[in-house]
Amino acid sequence: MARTRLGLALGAAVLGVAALVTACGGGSSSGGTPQQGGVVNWAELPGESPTWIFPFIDPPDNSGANVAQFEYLMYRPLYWQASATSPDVDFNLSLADKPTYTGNKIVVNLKDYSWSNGEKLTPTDVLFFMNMLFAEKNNFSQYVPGEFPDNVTAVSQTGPSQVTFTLNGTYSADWFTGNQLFQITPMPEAWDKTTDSASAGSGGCASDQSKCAAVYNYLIAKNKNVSTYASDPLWQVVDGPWQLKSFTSEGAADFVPNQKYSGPNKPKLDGFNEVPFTSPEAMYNAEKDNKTIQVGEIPASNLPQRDPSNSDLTPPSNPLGAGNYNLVNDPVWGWSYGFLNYNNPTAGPALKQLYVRQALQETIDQVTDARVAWRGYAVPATGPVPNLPASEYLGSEQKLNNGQGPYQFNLNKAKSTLTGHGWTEQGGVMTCTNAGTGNNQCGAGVTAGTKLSLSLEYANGSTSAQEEIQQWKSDASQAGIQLNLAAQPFNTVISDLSTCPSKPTTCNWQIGYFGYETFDSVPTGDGFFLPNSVLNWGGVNDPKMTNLVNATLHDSANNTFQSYENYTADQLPASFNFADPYKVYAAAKNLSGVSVNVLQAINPENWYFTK
Amino acid sequence: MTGYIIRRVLQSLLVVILVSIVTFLLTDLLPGGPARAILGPKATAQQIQDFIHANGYDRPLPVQYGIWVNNILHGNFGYSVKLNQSVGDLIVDRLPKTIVLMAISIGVALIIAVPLGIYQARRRNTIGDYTVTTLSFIFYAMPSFLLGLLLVLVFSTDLGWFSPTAPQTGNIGQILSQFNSLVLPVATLALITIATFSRYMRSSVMENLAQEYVRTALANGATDRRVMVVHVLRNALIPIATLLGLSLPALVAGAAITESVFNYPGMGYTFINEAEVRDYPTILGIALVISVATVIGSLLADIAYAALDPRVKYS
Repeated sequence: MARTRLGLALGAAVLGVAALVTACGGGSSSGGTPQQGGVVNWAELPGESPTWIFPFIDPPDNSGANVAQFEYLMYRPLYWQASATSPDVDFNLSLADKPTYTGNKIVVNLKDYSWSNGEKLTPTDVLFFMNMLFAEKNNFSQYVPGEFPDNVTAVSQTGPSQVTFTLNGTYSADWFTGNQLFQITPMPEAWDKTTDSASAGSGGCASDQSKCAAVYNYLIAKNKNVSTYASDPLWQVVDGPWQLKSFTSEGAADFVPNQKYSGPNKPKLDGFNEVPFTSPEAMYNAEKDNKTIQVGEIPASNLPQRDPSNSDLTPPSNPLGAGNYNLVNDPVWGWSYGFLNYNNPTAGPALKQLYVRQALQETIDQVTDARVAWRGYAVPATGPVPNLPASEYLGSEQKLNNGQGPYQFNLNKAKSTLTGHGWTEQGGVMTCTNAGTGNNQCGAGVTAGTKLSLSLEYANGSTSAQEEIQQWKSDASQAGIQLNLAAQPFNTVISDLSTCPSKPTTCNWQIGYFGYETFDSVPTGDGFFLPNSVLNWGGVNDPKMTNLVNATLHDSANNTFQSYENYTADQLPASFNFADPYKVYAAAKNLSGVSVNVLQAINPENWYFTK
Repeated sequence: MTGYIIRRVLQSLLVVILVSIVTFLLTDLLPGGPARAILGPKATAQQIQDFIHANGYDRPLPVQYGIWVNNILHGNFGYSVKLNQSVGDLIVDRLPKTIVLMAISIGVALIIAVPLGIYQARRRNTIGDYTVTTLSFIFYAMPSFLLGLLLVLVFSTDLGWFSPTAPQTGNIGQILSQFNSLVLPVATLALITIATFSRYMRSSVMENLAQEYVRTALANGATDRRVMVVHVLRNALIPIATLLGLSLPALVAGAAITESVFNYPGMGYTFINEAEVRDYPTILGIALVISVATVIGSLLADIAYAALDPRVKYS
């Protein structure tokens, strides 16, 4: 049985993963004669509607619905992350040219952009944001202690359209631009005030950090008044291609082109509307109706079964009717992984053993998961870098075994790995019978009699993820590893898992899994594997890992990243890799240029109807 | 009667207070608390701490409850961090939509169920009665999401007669004018309610038809129609009046599943959605509105019962 499954896995991997890495996301047809005008209705994801307009976004409201698919239409970030096929910064869509790094200095030259009120985009607008960030960093969703803006010692205007950042050290240009500077959204002088009637710039935040609190409070108060989002003159000052025409408290947002948009790709549509949905069923029914929605994600449950070994990501048939919609694939730049609790007094010592982690990984049949649980719309993950979309970050270790990574699914190997380290199967569960630190013994801290019976707390929101977990439990049991499943709501899982770093004595989870986490442009491990990383809930503390992660933050060389990536794929420090799902969007047949980027941002200014 | 109503109002007030306390305690018992749920996995320890402090979750529970009650008494239902708006605005925005949908559905159900129940009672144990009974049981047992999706599949996707979504507006006038969009959600809710109401009506009419006053009226030469309309109907409607009173909570609580299937974000959908993200102020605000509606509905049912049946004494 295991041999047959392994054969299938290898076959699919060879045909599938290797091909997929070169065949990722695409857009709807760009053919046909472009027409000026028309309105596109975009289906917001169920339950994920915009609720926040102020680009200085706070932690509860940082979501794709608020940022990448709402604010970015109006207020452009200094550096635009990703495209439909790559996580790399798109300098064409950025407000500034590629920055110049010299030692600990970064020089940023702004492009010739204007705000919709006629003002030029100037360094003052960047300083306005930076000062607010210095003053209110704990209210900013992207803030990670020790990183941006803690790593910036000074920012100043050094030319009519030039800003220079001085850092507390030298950093990797790729990482700093794609993961740090992208957080900046220049803010217009019109916002720098503390009352409606005050003049633009009177708040003084752009030049004096100490004045930013009052300006922040004013803007936050305005931001809380969702009923005036479309009518308040404040929010109508934009530098992006769209202006808000109407907005409802339910998150329905109608945009019209910013007639004074000064960037590339002027909108061809007359309007772009975002339509909220309460459920995937409601969204799919509206798409199927083919009257109101021109672009929307097709819920995974409505997609036809796809053969994952096929290099074309597109579904084999169009559930909405090929005559009505084109299909657009959208790989997501992120990672599904499980947390291991090294601090757990029972399971921690065993989980600290690399061979145990390897054995666990070898019981995850990702190829079958991708085909069955995800019905063909997922790609096996082999390490800390996604296989899709293709990127220069994918290293040699992850490409081993025909793209299955260093620890491909192999139940026999998992079993022999454990028995070779002092474990014996007793009553169907591997039990440590040869305690000690020798090569063929269970390892430091693992006492005789310890059973490989591990609790696995996971989020129950996704049917596919639940199937995947059930499959893992079944497979792991064949290797003598008992997984005791506890399905919980997503919020319970993240609450339980995240309490461990601060309360290790009451922390009793052993393996945790809540789903998917997206990366910034560069998939470094600073959010996961440093001792104080915000998502290091399991207590990873590996000095070599720490050094390798830190190196990627300071050095752009590809081999520096490869060293981190290969070591992580090899060591499985805090994660087990589950298949990464990708999305499929429907775009009206007569609509061209539609794509969704790998970080979920949209550019409806590129969309146009055709004859 | 005035004394009775005053007593019942005071009792109702007590019930509302108890419900609010229980709801407050239950939300506090949710594992993990609201901070992590609302701020997300990437929130820092400092941000979690700030959130807890800013929202008063680090204070003793009785103090939190006292502050909440005080705010409610001053018309402040709290603020939904997740939805970035005040809970009062949220309720004002979504309650009318829910009331419209539920009122139309209950009205339609009533208009169909009453004659249907009478028909069944008068033609009991006939094929017609069996057919209606069978359909009633089917609709009564059918989950609303299944019924809703089936109706969409047949009447929207296949036949193209009606819109698959409910009216997409918050304006009551516009909602009422979008007949095509109202049909399927109203039908989903009404079909299930008809099944309930018609069963009550059937047994109530049957029970009254067996009463001596009916035989007496018939013996005095009253026609079947007169006996039914003048004598039986009034008495048979008493349980329906009670049911209507008890439907008041549903009128404001909405129907989460139906709202979800037909893209109609009303009170029910909002409550369930915000409960998932531990949006405490919204949960408490909506629960309070529903509990008030429940006690008012119960009170109205009691008063209506007594008004319709002279044998019932206020005491």
